[in-house]
Amino acid sequence: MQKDNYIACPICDAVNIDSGSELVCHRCKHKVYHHKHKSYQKSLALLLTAMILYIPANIYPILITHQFGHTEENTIIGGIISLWDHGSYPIALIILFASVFVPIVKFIMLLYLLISVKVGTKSSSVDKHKLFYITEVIGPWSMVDVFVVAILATLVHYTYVSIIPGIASTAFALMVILTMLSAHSFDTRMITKEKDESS
Amino acid sequence: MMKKMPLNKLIICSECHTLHRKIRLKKAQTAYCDVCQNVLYYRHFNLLHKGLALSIATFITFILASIFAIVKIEINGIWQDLTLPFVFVTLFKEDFFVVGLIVSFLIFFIPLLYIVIYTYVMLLLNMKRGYEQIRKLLIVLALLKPWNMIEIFLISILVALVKLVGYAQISFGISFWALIAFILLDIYLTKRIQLSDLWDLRDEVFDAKR
Repeated sequence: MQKDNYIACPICDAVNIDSGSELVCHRCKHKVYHHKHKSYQKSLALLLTAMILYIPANIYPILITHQFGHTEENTIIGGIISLWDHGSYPIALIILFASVFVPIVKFIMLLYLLISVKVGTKSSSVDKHKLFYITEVIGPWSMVDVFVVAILATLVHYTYVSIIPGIASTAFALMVILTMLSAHSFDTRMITKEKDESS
Repeated sequence: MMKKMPLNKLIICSECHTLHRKIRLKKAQTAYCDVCQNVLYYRHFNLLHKGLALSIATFITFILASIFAIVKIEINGIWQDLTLPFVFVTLFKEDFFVVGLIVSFLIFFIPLLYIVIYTYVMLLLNMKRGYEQIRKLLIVLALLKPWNMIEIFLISILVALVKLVGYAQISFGISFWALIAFILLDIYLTKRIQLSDLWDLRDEVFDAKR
């Protein structure tokens, strides 16, 4: 059985035989994409935009607190440090994981996958598929910080104390959306194809 | 038709993309991938009716979760409510249109649309009608699925509350419990019942009719 000729439809998971040309899924009749080149460039472009957006997301404040006429601005890292200082270690770790660790790991994983498609690396295609799966699963969790800011802004707007979102929240939310789009436009068949060519 | 038959008996692991041959499971059995131990598929008992009942229940909990207060906080004797739609309305009020739009879709419109379409698909399946329509709606569901972030929103509520501990008095509203019920049901509907199960169910229902 020629294993590599079987591909799963990204929409309905039905197994299709990859004939090498334009392919329409036999079950959902949706196009199983075959523009290998386009998919690669789209994914790369979206990833690079997301990486650029991550810079303002960290430089500018994500949370602005007005308290008795005195204003305090918090960046993502600043927020984590102040949480740590207040002794809420688990929450600090959650935010650290969601806003710093997850995006960076996602950048590295996607970059590695994109480069490995072009260059060809030693790791097996099964590992790469797993890597891709992990990137897709952990991706949305970086939205936590944006949601937290939105919730705090909704809850805390009194005359003396109020919290408003900062510019970084826009950059950060866009960054998360773009990395997710980048992962979605990455054609997983490129991983298998690359193995084909090297063997 | 001859060409189609063997393809229906195959499945590709969503995690490691290994090809497997489907076997018929007995009650309460689960098929795992032998390469990465990921779940391939479950054996569902009476999916047609269970799916409809659960999706209607999920829809009701979503309505409950979005009309009442999720949490209430008190600072200096003034109470402030948090309701689901107010989260993004506030963002719009603060002129954060891009974030407001993104958040409104991720935590409100997409979960709502998803459950409405899901319920409708289950209804159509139960009535054995709309073969073509179900196909289109299942494609929409597959496209919406990755953008549903309501469970992440729940964690965010807890994180936000921890930040407020010490400054404010916090109490949970009706919608908090409705939201938890909604998320549990939603996870069951989207993770335990996979979309490919619905595609199989569609084939089953309409093949029996013909």
